[in-house]
Parts: sequence; structure tokens; C-alpha cells
Amino acid sequence: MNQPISKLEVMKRCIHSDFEMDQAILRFLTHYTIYSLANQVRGLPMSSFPRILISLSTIQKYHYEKIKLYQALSLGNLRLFVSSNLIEKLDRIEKEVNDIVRLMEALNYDPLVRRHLDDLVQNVQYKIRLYQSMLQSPAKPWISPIIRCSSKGSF
Amino acid sequence: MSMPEIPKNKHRPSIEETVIDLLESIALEEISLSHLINAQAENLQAFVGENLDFPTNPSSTDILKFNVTIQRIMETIMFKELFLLRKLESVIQIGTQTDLGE
Repeated sequence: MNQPISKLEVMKRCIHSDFEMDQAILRFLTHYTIYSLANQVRGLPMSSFPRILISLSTIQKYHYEKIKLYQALSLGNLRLFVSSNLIEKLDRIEKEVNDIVRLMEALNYDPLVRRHLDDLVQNVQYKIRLYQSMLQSPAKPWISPIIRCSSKGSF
Repeated sequence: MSMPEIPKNKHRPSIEETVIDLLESIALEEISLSHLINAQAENLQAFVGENLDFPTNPSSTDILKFNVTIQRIMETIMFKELFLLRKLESVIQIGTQTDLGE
């Protein structure tokens, strides 16, 4: 039987899993862009690109909501696991997604695709800002996590 | 007929431990989903090939089918993410009821 772990330890694992997902999304997006461009060269339409981007962007939105809930559950102490290193890594992810956006612009790609890519970048930015605000504000003993954090966030 | 009752057992986890286990299960599911997305990225890489020459020589129909498959997998992952968010909300509710946050 596994040893029980502490609540803070489980929060750390939750943040780690979220970051793993960010990296996976970036990797997928990079390969999907290459695949999409290779198809374009063959003259095949890539009508599925916007739908794929909607999926990725929506996953990011759910993650943003989840981090707010983790923060509430850990009574504002999630900042203990949010390091400037993590924010730097997320910044890098944002820059790489921005590179993909620029590539799409250079290729004069479908404006709809660009719009969804912008959404994706924006969702990564939301998360970076959330992490930054966690780092800047001291931990507070929150009265009720449920009242402070609802899933009906800024989306 | 009455509802079955779970017998008392000294090794049974407390509510707090159960909430922690549930949170851990969310993290583990999340990592599994990230592995699935990574696997799809590798799938794409293998399909396109290093020189972007589609080494398996797929027909246009094959490529369109491949698109649909990838799209469906990503949509399934997206819905799974929604369920994980709802699960987290429920776990927090249980945690609050049992004063886990205190």
C-alpha cells in the first residue's frame, strides 16, 4: 500500500502535471504545424486546423480554471510551488507559440487559424499572469476557498 | 432491501486522505493526458517523416482519415479535461465540507 502524501505534496504534483501538459501541447502544436504545412505543399486543405486549435485553446482555459482552484484549495500557498523558473519556462512556451503565429502570418495562412492561435497564446499569457500574481502576493488564510474561487472565472 | 454498508476497517482511509487521493488521481490523469498528446505529436512526426516526404506514401484519402483521427483524439482529450475540472470542483466541495482547507 502506498504511503499517504501530504496536501502540499499533492498540490506540487498537480502543478507539475499542468506544466507537463503545457509542454505536450507545445510539442503537439509544433508538429501539427509542420504537418499542416507539408499538407499545404501537397495541395491538401487543412480544414481541421482550426478545430485542433480550439481543442488546444480550450484545454488551456480549463487549466487556467484548475490552477485558480488549486490556489484556493491550498489557501493561497500554491505560490510555494510556483517558482520564477516555472514562469520563465512558460514564457518560453509563449514565445514559441508566438513564433508559430508569425510563421502562419508569413505564409498568409487562413485568418481563422491565426485567430485561434492568438486565443491559445492569450490563454498561456493568462496563466503566466496568474502565476506571477501568486509569486507577488503573500499567502493569506482564505476564509472559504469555494467563495473566493469559482469556475466562472474571467472566461 | 437495505443499502449495503461498508464494514469498518482500521486501514480504511479518512476523508482527508481520500480527498488527497482524489487530487492525486487528477494529477495522474493529467499526466496521462499529456502523454497521450505527446504520443500524438510523435505520431504526426512519424507520418510526415523527417524530410516532410510522408514516408508511408499515403493517399489523399489516408491523409484526410488521419486528420479526422487526430481531431477526434484531441477533442476527446479536451472533454476529458472538462471532466477533470468538474472532478476538481467536486473534490474541493468535499474538502471544504470536511474542513480540509482549515
